[in-house]
Amino acid sequence: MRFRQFAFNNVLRRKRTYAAHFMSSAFAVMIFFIYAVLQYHPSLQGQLAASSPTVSALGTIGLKISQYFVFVFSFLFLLYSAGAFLQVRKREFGILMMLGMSESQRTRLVFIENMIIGLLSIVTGIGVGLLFTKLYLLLVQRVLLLEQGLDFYVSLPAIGTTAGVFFVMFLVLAGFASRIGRRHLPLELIRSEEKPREEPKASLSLSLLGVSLLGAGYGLVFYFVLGEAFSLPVLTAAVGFVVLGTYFLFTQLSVYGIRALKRREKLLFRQINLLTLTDLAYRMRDNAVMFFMVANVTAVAICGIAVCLSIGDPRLTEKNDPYAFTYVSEEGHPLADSHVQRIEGRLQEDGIPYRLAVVTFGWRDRYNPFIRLSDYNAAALALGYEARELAGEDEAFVLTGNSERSQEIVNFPNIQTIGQENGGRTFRIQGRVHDQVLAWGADVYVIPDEAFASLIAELSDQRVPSVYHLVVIDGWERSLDAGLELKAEMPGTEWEDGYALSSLAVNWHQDRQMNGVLIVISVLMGVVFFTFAASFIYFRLYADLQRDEKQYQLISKLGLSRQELGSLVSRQLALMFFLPLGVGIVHSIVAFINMGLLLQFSMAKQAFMICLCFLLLQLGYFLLIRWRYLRHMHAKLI
Amino acid sequence: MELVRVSKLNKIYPGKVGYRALTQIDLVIEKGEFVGIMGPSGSGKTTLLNMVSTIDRPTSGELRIGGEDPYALKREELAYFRRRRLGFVFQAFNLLETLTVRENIMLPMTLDGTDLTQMKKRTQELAERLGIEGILDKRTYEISGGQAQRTAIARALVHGPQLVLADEPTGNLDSKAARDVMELMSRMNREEEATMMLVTHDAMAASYCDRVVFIKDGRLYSEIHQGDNRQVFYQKIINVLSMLGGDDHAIPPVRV
Repeated sequence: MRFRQFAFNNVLRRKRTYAAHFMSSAFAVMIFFIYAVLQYHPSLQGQLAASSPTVSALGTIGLKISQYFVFVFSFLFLLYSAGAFLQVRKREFGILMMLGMSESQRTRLVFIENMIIGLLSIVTGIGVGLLFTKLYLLLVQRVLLLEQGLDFYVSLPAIGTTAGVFFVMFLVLAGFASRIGRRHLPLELIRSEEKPREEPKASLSLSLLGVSLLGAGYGLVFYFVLGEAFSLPVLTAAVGFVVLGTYFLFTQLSVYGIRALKRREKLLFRQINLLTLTDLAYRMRDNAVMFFMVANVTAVAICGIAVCLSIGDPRLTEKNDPYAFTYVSEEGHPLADSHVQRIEGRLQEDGIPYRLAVVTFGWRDRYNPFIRLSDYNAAALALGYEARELAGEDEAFVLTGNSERSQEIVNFPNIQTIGQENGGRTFRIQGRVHDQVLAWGADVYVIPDEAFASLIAELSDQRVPSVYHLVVIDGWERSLDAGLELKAEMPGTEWEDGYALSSLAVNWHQDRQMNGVLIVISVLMGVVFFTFAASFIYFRLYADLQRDEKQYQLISKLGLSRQELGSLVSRQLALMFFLPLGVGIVHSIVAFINMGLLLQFSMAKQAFMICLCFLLLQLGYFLLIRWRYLRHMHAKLI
Repeated sequence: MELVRVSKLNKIYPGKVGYRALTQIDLVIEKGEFVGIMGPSGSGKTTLLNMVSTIDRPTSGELRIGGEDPYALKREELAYFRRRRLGFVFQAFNLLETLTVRENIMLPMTLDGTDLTQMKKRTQELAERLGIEGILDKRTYEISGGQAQRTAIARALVHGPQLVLADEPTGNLDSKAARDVMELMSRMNREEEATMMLVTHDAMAASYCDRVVFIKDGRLYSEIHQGDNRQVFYQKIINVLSMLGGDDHAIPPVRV
């Protein structure tokens, strides 16, 4: 047996111990690989880019950022778990040192072991990722509405990047891990398990400090938003306070609180409370750092996903654009006629029936245009609304704009003057029309044709009227191809080029894709964070398992029923599973409230959904682990 | 020729109330000698062994093994020292469960980077003499306590150490296995010329030694030498133990 073989045997014959560590490493690799495959997929890039540069940029940046996130958190998480394992193996290292293992050999052993696991998980992660490539490409294709579909492909650059990045990471990780726990006498290491554990202590002042830090952090966030003190230092301080406060909450306040509970003898000496409470103090102290990390990871994950989903929810139905194509040009624009011909020609090519209406906007000011009654009627008829009439020359009605419609403003002045201050014409407003005839945000005044002509002449030194060619297509989704092609031919904007084309199908497609990209990112991120949080808990349980086993054995000898054992274990596990999650959720709720206040946009729905998802997932995980744990204990206790 | 010299060794465990485990211990072990250390529970015998094993540090006093002061060595050198000159046998066996019996025996040589063929040869040879060649490829949880302790003895002897330190090697074994193990140790002491230091509660185990040193409350109490007859020596040990007035449980039922 050579030294390297020894290291190999150490890992390979301890499969179950390393299973969780290995699986989460492999999982991190796999998620990173999925991101990489998406990033490098040639047809994905082509199709996202074709739809719009914004979406493709968002896709690329989003994927990149989430990759960084996954990477950074993988590193922290794997470092922690590697450290946790070394703690469990103290006694083994003691024996080895006594047999004469030198410091450098110890370092080498840990290094090799970590590298074995690292390399195995790189291979496994990429392998499993490859196996499921087609599956998630199909999913992504559905979510991102890609017509051509994404072919299965073996992406060499994705494999290369993933393997390279994680190889370096495991190298650094192994280097760090091999430095953990050096400089101990072998005797201390061998006896570390027998050592009586000190009574957990907590100081009142640090507990109070924790509470006040949390309060200050939350207060600062509200100050940032409500006091409109938009400065980065304030926000940074707020986050820092909350993080630090959370740390003291778990390390100090919780232990202090349990001690206070223990002082109440009536509570303490009632059935299994004695066991629960005394054990809780130790467990809290031992797990404080883990709780702290899980709480923060959860808060970051929930906030991140909620923000993604909120951006990605464009309230598609509220766009309220009834026209498949809208071509706007300044009156008398040289390209206008040929463009309109081209649009009509393209639609005929595809055999798509359409109705065209032309509406000329005269500009009273930048927001409220006025239009001819005949234009209005043409558009209304094209859309299937009834035509309107105006009795006199000085009569007009208001076509309610989209933004006004949603606010249901019914009051309006009866008399409205349109035109310059010393000239212009005054109209008696007959009423409001709520039909969705134009996709305009503000109110539009509809006036008789003759009045329109004279007003235009009067305002000729003002802004040039805009001519809208509005195309109605029943089942406008069909016009996506035409839309993409026409958009490519007519990329102009209204302000710079004097004309612009917008296609409802293209816009809708873009929004859906943007939404899809954000959903893909947030789901993947959520999965990663959840896995990590879950594994943290698993490691802690594993590290304490032997000690717990002994303790339960001892107690069961004194007489503890199965049911009592069950509820004892449930209480302890529930604490580990739900306390950090709960704190994380509280943090995120504060964040949501403030983001909502800041953006005037309620994220309550998304936030609630995500928190519910996390809770349900955690509940499932809790029940699974509880079942396994109790089964294990029952087997040990006979 | 003396191999181990302990002079004026003291050990105080610090704490709220400091605990004095050893006081002014002087002990010399000759090369090739088999020395037993006995005493009631808490007398400090294991502490003394740990000091000599270099796995714990004395508060004051001197230790020489083969003329060298192991505590003056650097960490790295100390590791080499343990690996080449010392062998350990414990009550709890302390075998690594991830390794097979063969690999456990090879471990000290592996750490030292010994040539593979030599490693195999030496392991085979020792295994045959200790009667464990049949279980070499088993894992440690598949073998009995007696077999585990033989494995541990093989591991302690495989690299030809100058000094073998044994802490209650029979503590976890039944009387038959205990006697086998002691016989093996005494044979190895003669055949391999390994100097041995044994800490035990068990008068039967101690009766295999050339000399038994008694400790009480951290101080040397007396020592007796084996004559020609092990039975007589056993009786003498029992006598000293009863004179020590230590806890009765320290004396096992007669099982000669």
